[in-house]
Amino acid sequence: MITVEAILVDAVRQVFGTMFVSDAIPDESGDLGAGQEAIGMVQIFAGDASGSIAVGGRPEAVAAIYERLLGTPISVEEESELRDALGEVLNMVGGLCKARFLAQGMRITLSLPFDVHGLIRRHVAEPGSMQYTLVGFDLKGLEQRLVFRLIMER
Amino acid sequence: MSTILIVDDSSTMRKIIAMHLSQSGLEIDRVVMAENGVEALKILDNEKVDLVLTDMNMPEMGGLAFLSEVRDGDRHYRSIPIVVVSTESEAGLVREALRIGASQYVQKPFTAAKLAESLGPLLAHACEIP
Repeated sequence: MITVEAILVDAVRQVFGTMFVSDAIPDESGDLGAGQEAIGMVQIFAGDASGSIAVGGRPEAVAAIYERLLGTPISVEEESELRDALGEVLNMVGGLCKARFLAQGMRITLSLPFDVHGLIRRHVAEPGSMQYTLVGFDLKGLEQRLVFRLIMER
Repeated sequence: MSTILIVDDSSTMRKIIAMHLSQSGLEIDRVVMAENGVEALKILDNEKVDLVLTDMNMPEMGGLAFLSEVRDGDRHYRSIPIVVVSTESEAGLVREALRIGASQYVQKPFTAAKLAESLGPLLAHACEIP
């Protein structure tokens, strides 16, 4: 049985390896840093299983990702553009996760990305039917961090 | 030389694709952009475009509906090459896109080389048509 953590880690590393020619190193911590402002985006899974995938990062991290993707710098004040870029990264990660769920025989759909505000936190308790993971990634070459959370419930 | 239409609801993805195209070595002299199928149809009605790259999942009009609109009508651009560039991996939806007239399917995430490899032959063929 493949865990949601393995699915998430593979997907994030594939996206960063392909689009950024870089690696995303997972670690145990879901922290962005105490008190840090975060930009967050989320997508919803629905169908045979339901759940969500979310990503959060400091504006400086998202700006560094934008610059790596497009070769042009962007101000951390341009939140709309930063959210669009982070949403597209999430969309690619979510799409790869969906492909893995489909391969396991689940019929599911994935929503478009939308904004979330506030930090993406660890759940206090997990119901038995829920698979849940929250993984921080150090982005090699960018010296920045993103946190992804994947929740699925059948 | 040719004109490419990029249809994607993400401004970041439109810029990424345009950047890859400019670095691809393909003979492209103009790139135009639309946020969804509705905007793309308006552009096609008014401008000469040689090839379209479209996302699947977009608000207002998604890629499948856009493909149907282009292929089913009697518009002058009904046979234009359309490449779907999407995160969508559901085999049924990919088959449906190809059945209703997508020329190629490129899955996100993609490399610049993969994009150029998919577009090259289509663009060469499109430019032969007066």
